[in-house]
Order: sequence, then structure tokens, then C-alpha cells
Amino acid sequence: MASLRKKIFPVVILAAIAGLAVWLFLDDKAANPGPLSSAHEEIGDCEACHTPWKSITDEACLACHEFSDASSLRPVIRFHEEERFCLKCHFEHRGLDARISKVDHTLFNGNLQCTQCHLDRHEGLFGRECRQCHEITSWRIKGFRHPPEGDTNCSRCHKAPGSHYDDHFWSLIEEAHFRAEKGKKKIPVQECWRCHITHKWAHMRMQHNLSD
Amino acid sequence: MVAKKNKTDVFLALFFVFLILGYLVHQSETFAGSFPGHILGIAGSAFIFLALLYPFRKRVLGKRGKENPLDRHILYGLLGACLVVVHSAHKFSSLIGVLTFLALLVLVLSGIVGKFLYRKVNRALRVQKGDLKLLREHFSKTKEELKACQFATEQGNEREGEGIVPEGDQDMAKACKDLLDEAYAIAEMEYSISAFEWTKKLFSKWVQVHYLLTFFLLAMLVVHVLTTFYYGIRWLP
Repeated sequence: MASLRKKIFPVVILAAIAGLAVWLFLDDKAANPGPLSSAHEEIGDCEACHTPWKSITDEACLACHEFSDASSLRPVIRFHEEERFCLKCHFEHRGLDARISKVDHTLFNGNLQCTQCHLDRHEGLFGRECRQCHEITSWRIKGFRHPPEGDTNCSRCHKAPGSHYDDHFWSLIEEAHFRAEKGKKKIPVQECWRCHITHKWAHMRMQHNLSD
Repeated sequence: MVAKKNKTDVFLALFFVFLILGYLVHQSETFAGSFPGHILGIAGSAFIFLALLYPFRKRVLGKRGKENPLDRHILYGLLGACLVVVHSAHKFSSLIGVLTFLALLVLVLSGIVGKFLYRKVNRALRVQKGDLKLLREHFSKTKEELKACQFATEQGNEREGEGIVPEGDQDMAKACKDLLDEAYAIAEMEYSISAFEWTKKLFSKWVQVHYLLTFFLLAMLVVHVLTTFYYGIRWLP
């Protein structure tokens, strides 16, 4: 009897483990790697997105998301009409408040304008062809060097702040720093190099000697 | 042999480094499901399966000792566990993932118990049995030579060797006292051996637990792999 119990006991344990494994495989929640985002939390059925043994297909996304009519889309997401590789940019199961988009620029076609999504920090001074300088994998420009100190074309890229267009502010500067040139032609605000140096905008060429 | 032992210790240390320090520096939501993450997971599982060769060769093919070294089993097991820890990237969210990782952790811990305690108990038992045999042989031989010794049986006298005859013969009395001490040493060693044997018997259950944990890990591993394929692998086209 004891030896029979000894033989049956391990079989029962192994069967229990095998049963647990089958139950875990059949239960959707057991494989859930994390909560869905608030946009998708209503979807209860895993197979609504995961086609069994085939991963998540774009068709499953497009069953709910409509991109065929470009005019119905916000400008920043109009590129969806051209390219459909949802999983390249969108992720899930990262929590209710998680961001589920990380854009892969390499998927965009040439017709897409950067300014459709990005703010032009240069305020149009450099034109609209961002890709002449910027690459799509990094916003930084490789090997960029600021023009040397002798360069006087600052206004080609930089725009003076609003204060510099204020007559009172400008007259004070002219009074203090350009006394010698007083009476001559008015100094234009675009001649940044008269006060600023190139390696840091806040660095001034002139010392503020108030006793002067 | 020494180099092999060092290797297992290094991998044991590595396992804990990956487990504890990795928690601080390598936590990722997506690494386990990425291409390099999967490669690490597959490699880790392959090493765990290689570790299974040891019990297979021992139980099925009957190969023991140098033909089937335990160190290789420990080495493959630890190497597999290290790779699986990195594969997990310390992301424990799905029930299956958590159970698989816990099964691995408990299995490694039970392996450590086996490596450090079970082997030590076995060795100590072997050494003590050898010592006991020598002591018994020496005792029987001396006892034959010292037939004149008669030991008091009253309590309290034994340790001091009092009541040993013949009285007056100091050398004889000392020899008889030594013989008595030897008898006590044999009794203590027998007690110690019985304790070690009890521990060894207990550890025979440990091997069963180790097997059970291995089966549990394999079952979880199969479910983990099946669900991964069922719900889809992102990096596959």
C-alpha cells in the first residue's frame, strides 16, 4: 500500500503541474504582459488584436481605425493614409496612461513635409527643405560649426527678440554704447555683431561700465 | 578540476550579480520581446536543456562519476539561468512570465543547496565512516592486548577512568584509560554518523524536490514559448 502511494504521489503531482500549464495556456489573462492604454482598455478579447499564431496584423488595427479618407484626418496624422505598418510605431500593454506611439521616421515617404508635424524653430528663415540639413534619424546636424566671430550675417539665421525693436530700449543702447557715432546714421538692429559674439548669445562684446 | 569548480562559483556569483544589480541597471519593457532578447532567452533555455543531460545520463544510461560530471550540470544550469535573467530584463508582469522566472529562481536555489550541503554531507559521512572503521579496528586490537583492564560501570567514574585495575601499575592504568577514551570516541562518532545519515536520508527527498522543480520549470517554459508564438512575435516578418 505504501509503495503504491509512493508511486501514485509523483504521478499526481506531475499531472497537477501539467494541468496548471494547460490552464495557464488557455487563460487569456495569464499571458497578459500589462494593462492596455486607456484608448484600448475597452477591448476585452485578446484575439480581437492578436490573430492566433500570426501576431498582430495591420488589418486588425484597421478594423477599428479608418485612414482611407485623408480629408477626414488631422494634418499631423495624414501620413497614415500612405503607410500602414502600425506596429512599427505603436505599442501596447504599457499601462493606462502610457504613450503608445514612437514614430519611426524611416517609414515616411518623400512627400511628407516635416512641418506637418514639427514646429519650424527657424521660423521659415531656412526654407522648407528641412532634410537638406537634418537627417530623419537624428535632429542634430552632424559636423555643424557656428560661423566664425568675424561673420556679420547673424540675421540670416537669428531674429532679434522683441525688446530690440522697442525704441526706448534701443535709444538707451545707442546712448550708452554708440555715443561716438551719435548723429550719424541710426544703427540697424540686424547688426547683432556690434554687441554679441558668436559662441554664446548672452556673451556681450561690450563691458557695462556704468561710470562711463 | 579546480578550474571547473572556480567556473561554477563564478557563474553562481554572476547569476546573483545579474539578478540583483541587473534590477537596478537593466529594466526594460520591450527587451524580452525584441530580437536580441529572444536570442538570449533561446540560448538560456538551450543551456537549461543541456543541464538535463546529467540526470538523463545518470538515471537512464547509468553513467556516474567522471563519466558524467556534476560540475558540467551546474555550469550549464547557471549559465542558462544567467542568460534567462538578462532575457527577462527584470520585467515581471504576466503570470506565466512570473511563474517561469520564479521556477527558475527556486530551482537554482535548490541546486545551490545541493551543491553546498548535500555534497558536504556525503563527503563528511564517507570520511567519518572511514575513521570509524579505523578506530574500531584499533580498539579491538588494543582491547585484546589489555585484557586485564576492567572498567567500572558506576556512573560518574567512567570519564575519569577511575576503578581501572590493576591498581598500582601506572602505565597499565594509563593504557586502560586511553582505551576507555577510544570507546567514548567511537560512541560519539557513531552518533555523529547516525545524524549525518538522517540528514542524507532527508536529502534524498531533496533530489525529488529538485526533479519536481525542474519539471515545473519545463512546464512553465513550454507554456511561455507556446503563448509567445500564439500571441505573436513582433520582430518576425
